[in-house]
Amino acid sequence: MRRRLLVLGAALGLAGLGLATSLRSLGAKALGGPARRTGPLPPGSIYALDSLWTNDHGATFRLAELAGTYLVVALIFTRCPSVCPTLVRQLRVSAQNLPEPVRAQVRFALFSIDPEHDSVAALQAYRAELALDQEHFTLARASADAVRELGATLGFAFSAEAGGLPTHSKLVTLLDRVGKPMLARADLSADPELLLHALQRALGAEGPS
Amino acid sequence: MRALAGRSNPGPQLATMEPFALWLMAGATLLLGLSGLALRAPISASARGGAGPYTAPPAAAAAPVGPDETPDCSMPRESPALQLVPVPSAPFRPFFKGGGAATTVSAFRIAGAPVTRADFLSFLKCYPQWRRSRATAALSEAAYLSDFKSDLDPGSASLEAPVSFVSWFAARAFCASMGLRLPTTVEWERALGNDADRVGAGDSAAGGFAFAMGQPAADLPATRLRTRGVWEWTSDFNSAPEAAGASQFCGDGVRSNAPSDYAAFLRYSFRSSLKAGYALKNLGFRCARDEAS
Repeated sequence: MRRRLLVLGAALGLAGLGLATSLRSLGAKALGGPARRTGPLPPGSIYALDSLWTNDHGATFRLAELAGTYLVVALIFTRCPSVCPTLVRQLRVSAQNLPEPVRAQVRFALFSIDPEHDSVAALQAYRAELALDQEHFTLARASADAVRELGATLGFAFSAEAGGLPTHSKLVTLLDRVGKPMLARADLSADPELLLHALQRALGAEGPS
Repeated sequence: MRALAGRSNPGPQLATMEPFALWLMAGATLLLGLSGLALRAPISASARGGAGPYTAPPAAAAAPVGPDETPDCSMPRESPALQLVPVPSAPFRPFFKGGGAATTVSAFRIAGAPVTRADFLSFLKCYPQWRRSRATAALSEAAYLSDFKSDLDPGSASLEAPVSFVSWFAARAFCASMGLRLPTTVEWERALGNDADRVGAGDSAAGGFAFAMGQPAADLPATRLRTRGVWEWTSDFNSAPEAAGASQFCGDGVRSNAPSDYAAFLRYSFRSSLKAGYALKNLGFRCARDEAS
């Protein structure tokens, strides 16, 4: 009996220790402390970048904080007259058409390439204008330097000219959970099912969770 | 678990424990697992800029190594990589720019020559995260510094040669470590894209495409500003239209102001073919900074 109690105590203690460790690391993260890492990042992973971004709620974050889920990335700017809204609407429709189990594993991130003009308020207005839901869409801005770095990492060509509208390529990139680009397309209209099929393949390869 | 299995002394012998204790252990493990799961980034948390499962690796411009290694972190003062040449503000017509109008390039300073292998070696001593063995695979392809014998052994090639086999990220980190930055493409072309007496010359004596690798602008001191037979990274190398075609490009980026400038065409083509992680034998860089700073 005494032995049983000892074992019980030990087990509870172990569980407590586990919880305490978890809570501590949670606290560390909340304070911007070190978080867990699982292995090296693959070539081309945007999660290797250290830049600081601000979302349309004014909250700051690092790109690595988006890791862990599949991520559809597009670089846009809110003044963009036609190409970006078309692209963003395509993404919104894609998101809506994903079956829920798949949609739960993916996020859409729209990064502004026009930091001079795209303030937090401008991003907020853009979210409302294009009816992008909070649950699946992240809108973010950063310094021109950070934008350049992200563009270079994704292979997104653009030029920001003072006074004019940015000139840019069209690019939608799907990243896996560690930021490895899975597919990059200029357009989704040619194959609206593209994202769905890529995600289904990837999730299938992960096996049952 | 795999690591545990390989150990000779696995601790408590599960087989000798009572079933009740095993259940407790299982329960505790489950609790641990659940509390671990709670750490996985919930999507909504990411949206708010919450915590995720990854932390970013050290920043490019992280602090130098601790005092135990005491490297000499001062750059060679006589290096041309540090001799910045003032480039006055002037109207300039970039190779790719619709409308044909000249833009004004604000005054800036640009290094007189590309960064040498000696310069880069000094950088590696102070920023170990950029050494060959430690460079993040995500930011530099495998060829990174492949002409080095080891982390700090530059091999037999001349230390005075321009450094190459460096990724855009590494080039950027080097410049940042000196409080500088890479020049923009327009700045680089303004300072070094003088093809006036080069177009069609074919300058085979210079070898390969060296004729396209740049000449100082007429209003700048040719004695203090030179190229050295390597292409050079620019901060916005990916600002030119993609080779994939104009249909991917929005705006007026595909029209050239000087269709006969073959040298410039080669430079822009080369740049647009690059990816930031590339490390190429004939691709180096130089640094620059704003005039005001």
